[in-house]
Parts: sequence; C-alpha cells; structure tokens
Amino acid sequence: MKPHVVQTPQNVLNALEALLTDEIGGKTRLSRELARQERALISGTPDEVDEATRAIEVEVGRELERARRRDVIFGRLAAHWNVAASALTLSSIVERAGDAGRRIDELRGELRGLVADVLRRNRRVARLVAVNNEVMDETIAAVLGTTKGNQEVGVIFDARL
Amino acid sequence: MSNISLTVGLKALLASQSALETAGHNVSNANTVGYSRQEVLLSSNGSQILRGIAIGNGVDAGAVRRIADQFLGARISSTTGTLGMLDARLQGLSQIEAMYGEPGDDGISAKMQSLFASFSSLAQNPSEPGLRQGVASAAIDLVKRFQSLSSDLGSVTNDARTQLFGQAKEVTALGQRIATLNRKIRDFESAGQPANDLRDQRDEAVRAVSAFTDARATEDSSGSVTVLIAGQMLVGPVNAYAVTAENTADGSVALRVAGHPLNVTPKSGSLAGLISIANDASGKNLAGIDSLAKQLIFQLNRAHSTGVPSSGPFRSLTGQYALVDQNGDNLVTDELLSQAGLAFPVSKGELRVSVTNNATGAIETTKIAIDPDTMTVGDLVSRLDGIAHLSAAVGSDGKLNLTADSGYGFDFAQRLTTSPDVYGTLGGASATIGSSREPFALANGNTLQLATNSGAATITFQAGSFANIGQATAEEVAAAINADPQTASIGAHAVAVDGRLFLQTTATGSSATIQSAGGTALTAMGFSPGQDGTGQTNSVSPTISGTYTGSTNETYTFVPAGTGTIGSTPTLGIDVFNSAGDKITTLSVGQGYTPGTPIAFANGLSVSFQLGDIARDDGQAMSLEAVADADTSDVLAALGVNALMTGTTAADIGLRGDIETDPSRLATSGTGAAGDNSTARALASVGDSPLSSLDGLTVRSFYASLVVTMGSEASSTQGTRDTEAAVMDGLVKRRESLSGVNIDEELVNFERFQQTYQAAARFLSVVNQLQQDLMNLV
Repeated sequence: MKPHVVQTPQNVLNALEALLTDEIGGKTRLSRELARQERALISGTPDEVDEATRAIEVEVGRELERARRRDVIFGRLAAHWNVAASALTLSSIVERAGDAGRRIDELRGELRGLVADVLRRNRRVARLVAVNNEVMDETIAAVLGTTKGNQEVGVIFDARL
Repeated sequence: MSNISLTVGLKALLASQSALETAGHNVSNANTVGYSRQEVLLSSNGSQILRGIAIGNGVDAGAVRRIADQFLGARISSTTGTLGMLDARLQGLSQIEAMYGEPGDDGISAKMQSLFASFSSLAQNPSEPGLRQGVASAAIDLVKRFQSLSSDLGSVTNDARTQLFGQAKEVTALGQRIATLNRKIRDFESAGQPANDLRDQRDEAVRAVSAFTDARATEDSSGSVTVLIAGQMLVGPVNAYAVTAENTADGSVALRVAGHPLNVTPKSGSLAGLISIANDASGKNLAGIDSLAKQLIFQLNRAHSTGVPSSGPFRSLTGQYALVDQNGDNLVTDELLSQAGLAFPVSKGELRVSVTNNATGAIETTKIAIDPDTMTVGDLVSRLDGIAHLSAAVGSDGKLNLTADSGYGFDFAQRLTTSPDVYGTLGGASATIGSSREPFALANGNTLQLATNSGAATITFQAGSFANIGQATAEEVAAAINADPQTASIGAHAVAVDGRLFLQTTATGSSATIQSAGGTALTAMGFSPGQDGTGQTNSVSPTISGTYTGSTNETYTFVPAGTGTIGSTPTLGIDVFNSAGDKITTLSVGQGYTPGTPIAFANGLSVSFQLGDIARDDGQAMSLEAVADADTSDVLAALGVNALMTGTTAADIGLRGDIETDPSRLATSGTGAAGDNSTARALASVGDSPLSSLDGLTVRSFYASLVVTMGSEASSTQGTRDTEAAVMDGLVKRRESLSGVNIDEELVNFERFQQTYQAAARFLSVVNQLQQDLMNLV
C-alpha cells in the first residue's frame, strides 16, 4: 500500500517549486520553437514552419497540463491559508510563505522574464504570419479573378490553361 | 498536413469549371474596347496592386509569379514606409533616452538624491559650515543638470526640424523627377514602343518617395503616374508640386504641398517619424522636465522661505519674482495677488511676520490674513509696511523689498509663544470673567452693566461701532467697551483672545473684583447675570515648552475644568481643546501636581502652571497658537522672498546667488531658536511629499515616471521596428524565391502556404492567451 503523504504546506510549496522549474523548461522550449518558426517564415520554408507549429502544439499541450497541476497546488495552498484560490498569485504566495518562499521568488522572477520574452516573440511571429497570409490571399484571389480591394483595378493577364 | 490533401484539393479546384471560366474571362476581357487601363502601382495601405501586364496571344507562364511579385512589391513598399517612420522615430527617442542618462550618477535622479541627502546631513548638524557648502554644491550640480537636459531636448527638436526641412526638399526633387519621367514615357510610348527602362526608373522614384512618406501612385491611360502623398498631390498628370516644412505659430513644424491649404499629415515614412519627434516626443519630455523643475523650485522655496539662517533675523530681503502690471496702467499695486503675473500660486491663508528688537530680544509677531482673490498687491504691501519697525515697497523691477529699521530684524519663523497668557485670562492676577465664543448676536442699543470694586457702569452698544452688530466679533465688542470712558473710570478693560471677550480689572490682587451685573447684551455674550471674578496676588502664568511637531497650524484652548488652587485642590483639572473644539486631554493640576512642572499635552508641547487659583465659572480660558507653517498662503514662495531657488523652468532654474556665494545664508531653523533644524528637515522631506500639482506623485516618482515612459516608448518602438524588419526580410526573400514554373505548381504552393499559415496562426493565438493568463498569476 502506498504510504499516504501528508500535504503539509512545505510539501505543497515543494510541489510548486517543481512545477515552476517545469514551467521554465517549457517556456525555454517554446521560445526556441517560436524562433525557429520566425526564421522559417522569413526564409519562406513552409515545411520548417509546419514542424515548428507541431512542436508548439506539443508545448501547448504540456502547458495545459501544467496549468491543471497549478490549479491543484493553488487550491491546496488556498485551503491551508483560508483564502480563495482565485486570489492567489505567485507574489502573494511568496509573501505568505516567508523564508520558505525564497526559492519560489527566484523562480518567479526567472519565469516572468521568460513569459515576457515568449509574448514578444509570439507577437512578432503572429505579425509575420499575418502579413504572409494576406499576400497569399491576395495572390490567390487575383489568380482566380476574385479581386479584393479596389474594384477599379482591372485584372489583366494571360494564363496558361 | 500532407501534400495528398492539397493535391486532391487542387485537382478539385482545377477541375472546377468556374475557375477555368474565370481565368478565361479575364483573358478575353483584356481586349475589350474601352476597358480601363487605370491601374494602381503602389499603395501604402497595402491594397492590392497590379501593374499593366502585356497582353499577348500566347500564354504567359510567369503570369502568376508576376502577380505575386506585384503584391509582394506593394507590401515591401508599405513596409519600407513603416520602417522609415520607425527608424526616424527611434533615432529621436534613443537620443532623448540617452540624454536622460538614467540610471547613472549624472542623471537628475542621482543629483536630486544628493541634494536631499545633503539637507538630511545638514539637519543633523545645522551649525557645520562644511555641510552648508555641501548643500550649495549639490544644488548647483542639480541646477546644471536640469539646464543641460533642457538644452539637449531642445537640440533634438532642432535636429528633427533640420532633417525635415532637408527631406522635404528631397521629396520635391523626386516629384520633379517623376514628372519628367512621365513626359518621357508618354513621348516614347506614343511612338508605339514600350518604355520599360523609363518605367523602371519611375517605379524606383515612386518607391523612394514611399520611404519618406505614405505615397499612392496611380497610372492613367496615357501612361502618366499621379502621386499623392498623405492624400495631397505631389505629382499630377502634367506638373509636380513643391513640398516644404514650415514652423507654425504654436511652435510646431508642419509640412505643406504647394497650392494646398491644409498641412500634410504623413502616417508612414521618415517624415512621419521626424514630425512625431519634433512636435511630440521631445516637446512632451521638455514639458515634463519643466513641470518637475517648477514644482521642485516652488516646494523648496515654500520650505525655505519661513526659515531663519544661523545669523538670525533679516535686516532686508528682496523677492526673486517680479509682479507684473496686467491692466496697462504701469502700476502693479492695483493688481490682485491672484492676477499679478506670478508663476506660482498664492493661496488663501495667513502670513506671520516676527520683528525682533536686537537689543532686548523682544519679539512682536503680526498675523496677516491673505486672500489672493480680494487682496491687491498694494493691500499686502500696506499691511507689511504697517508692521512696526518694518518697511515694505515694490521696487521699479516689480520685486518686493522688505527692510527692518536699524536695530531690528524680521523673519517668518514658526515661533512658539512660551507665555501665551498675555492678558492673564487664565488664573491671572486681575479679576477676570470670560464670555462664550463669537459671534455675538447683539442689537443696536443693547447694554452691558459692569461692576468692579471701584464702581459700576452701563455700556451701550451702537450699530455704528460694528461691521454687523448681529454678528459682532470679540474684538469689536472689546473695542466698543474700551472706547467708553466709563470703563476706564471703574478700573476695567476688555480684551479679545481667540474669539472670546474677557472683562478684567486693571488692578490686581484679591481686592479686585468684577461682575457682569446685567444688561440686555448679557445673554448674547454668554455671560451669566452676576457672573463674577476675583483677582489674586499670584497669577498662574502658564508657560509653554517643547517643539511643536504637528504638521498643520493648531490653536489649543485651555479651560479650567473646576475651581481651586493649582497644586492643592483635589482633582483640579484644566481641559485642553483643539481648533475643532474637541477635548484632547485634561491636565491634572490639583493635589499632587508640583507647580511649575511641565505637563505634555500634544505634539511635542508641554505646559506648566504656577501656584494660583483658577475658576471655571468665571469663564476663564487661555489660547495657544502652535504654528507648523508661518505662511499658509505661500505668498513668500510666490514672490520669492527668502527663496532658496530661482527661476521657473528647467532652463532657468538656479540657486539664489547670495546663498551660492555665502552658504551661511541658508536657512535651517524653523523656529528661530538656536540649534533648531526644522527647516533643514522640511527641505530634506520635499523629495518624498506627494504633490497635487504632480498628480499626487512626489518629485522623485514624477521624474521616475518620465524616465520609465520614455524608456518604455523607446523600447516599444524598437520592438515594433525589429518586427517590421523581420517582416521586410521575409517579404524580400519570398519575392526572390518565387519559382514561376507553371501555374499548377504556384497555386499548389500558395494553397499550401495558406494552410500552413492558418494552422500556425491558430496556435499562436492559443500561446498568446496562455502566456497572458500566466503573466497575471506571476
């Protein structure tokens, strides 16, 4: 029979530390894949873009799993401190934990920087995708004769059929 | 996403008769008579473009590539304009950011910190000359930094303007070149030959314009291109128009196209970036620094103006700021204080002026009520000039001059009156009875019957002696009583203290008695019929000690809680009330109290009482004014009297000249007492005091917000610029890589790209949301 582990606050804080470490690893990987996707978009290699998208899909799945773990941990801490789980943030946890939260505070700082970096990269890649997509839309529409935008412009070309 | 699904999709597409018919329709329309050849060559809003593609009888295998090439070309032009705007803006913002020099020892933040630290050090040891010199040096350092930053920000504006003027000329030259090429192309093609090289040159010139500003070029049926910049015509069918940069009346810079009444407002291109720097970014920063400098000057002067230097009260002082004639009569004395051209506001409040007899040390303090909306400069000067042994006048330069008579000195210190019971209205030697507080609802003809040990008198009150007899003040009533010769004849007099009327005998000792015998004014004044008082040999002589630590001015009223002898009568007490009328404490002065022992009652102050009698029912009372701020109107700071700093902006901020040359003139004492450091402490705390004039921020945090906003703007612009550069990179590479082998393959590629991008976009959106959620938890 598995021994029952008593969920003391320290146990839960340890679990939170482990989660944050995993989160940092996930963000690092995600940032790397976004950078790969950016390079692929610039160089115009759709296979590479696809591969990066698949890798990002995997990371998104892992992130959702970590979010579920986070909800459990926050719930346990909230019950221990008799507060609503929705009111907790890493900052407030660090404050309540005192000395026991020192390592969590360090990880929090590192994670914050990585999340900001991922957000920046993500926005840039999204812009590249949007611009490229618009060019493709316009080109395909012109080829098929369903012109967008200025209807005064004539579509004049010869097409080999 | 496998290629199989795409191929299936493509086959379905190609099999689609409608697609084939559409393509065929386009080809057949090419030869339709009257078909418009109006084509848009370039558009900064990225709307689709096409260039005239030669119509031929054969099939053009590279048709799709050329179409895609034109779309990419339009995007590249648009992104060129965006990058041009961002680069110009970033250059200016980077310059401004570098000028702040934060964080760093040379930044204003460090210089302010040094100044406030020097005040703190001086507060620890106000008599140390080296520390005074330290304050002067730190102040000069800060002043120089403000001035250089102001000058530097001005140079950013000038720089941007100079570039604007130059680039406007370049755009004009490009317009003329396009017009020339239009003519050549028309001439060439009218002979039936395509003018491909000339067209390429013209395209290049139009692209060059789009780097400067948002440009839209449209080709007409004659082959001429019309170019609009930000909606205004740069090149028409025949002529080109000059673009100029002009300085406007409000100090900004604007672009104009010749012949057009409105300004050109580019949204992209380097001109847009330069205009945003010249008209917005540098101006906004300069305004922020000026606000900071102005508030710093005002707050430091507010703290310093009521201080006293180590040399003691002043012989003379001249204000730093000139009063200005507003109504054109060459007089400033008739101007209201609120409208006398002062850079700093005067508020409704009070000013306390103390004049010291240097020989005897006697100090006379005068309180002047100030309302800037009703008091003229002349009124203020008259009140000041009316103070004994002080002269006041406005000089020819519009500045206020104050001079004490020989043997006297003046100051605006927060002096504590150690013996506030001047008239002995609390346990004094004279017989005393006290009234309730003003105002008194008297009527014309009301009477007051007084009786003393020397006789009796009936005083009649006439309306003419009062501003409003129904709201009579204690001062007015006292004056009316003292004006009646009967009063003196019975050995009585009246005094007004803190809104109460006290009737006293001029004689002292236990044989002196006074009584309010009757009369119709009795009730209105709060006297009881037959209320009486008896003099005594020894007066209680309340004495105040300590240093007032309250933050606002306060009046404490001491009222006997019973009747008896100080230090003797059991449970004898004296109640202490504040300005709001709240009792803050009861002092135990009966049995067990040793006469002369100080008792703490509020905010660093103590009071002691000598042996004597006090009586509640006689209406005895004493008031003490505790002063935290001797100038609640800030009129001294507004006029620059006893100022520390001069100027009103970052460009002209300075340290008062005589303090710079002789730091011993620095005021550190707030009370005038030797060793007092309250003014030095007040100066040190200026940096940490929230100010309504700075949106509730302190000077430190206001400056920090300027720096952070600036840094954030620069960083955000850099980030956007980097993204657009990546977009440009991608577009250029995409354009270069178009294969154009055949239409089938190109369509497959495009379809595939589309699905790849759409899939990527979906996950990017999810990633964005997940990170936002996580950021809220971190």
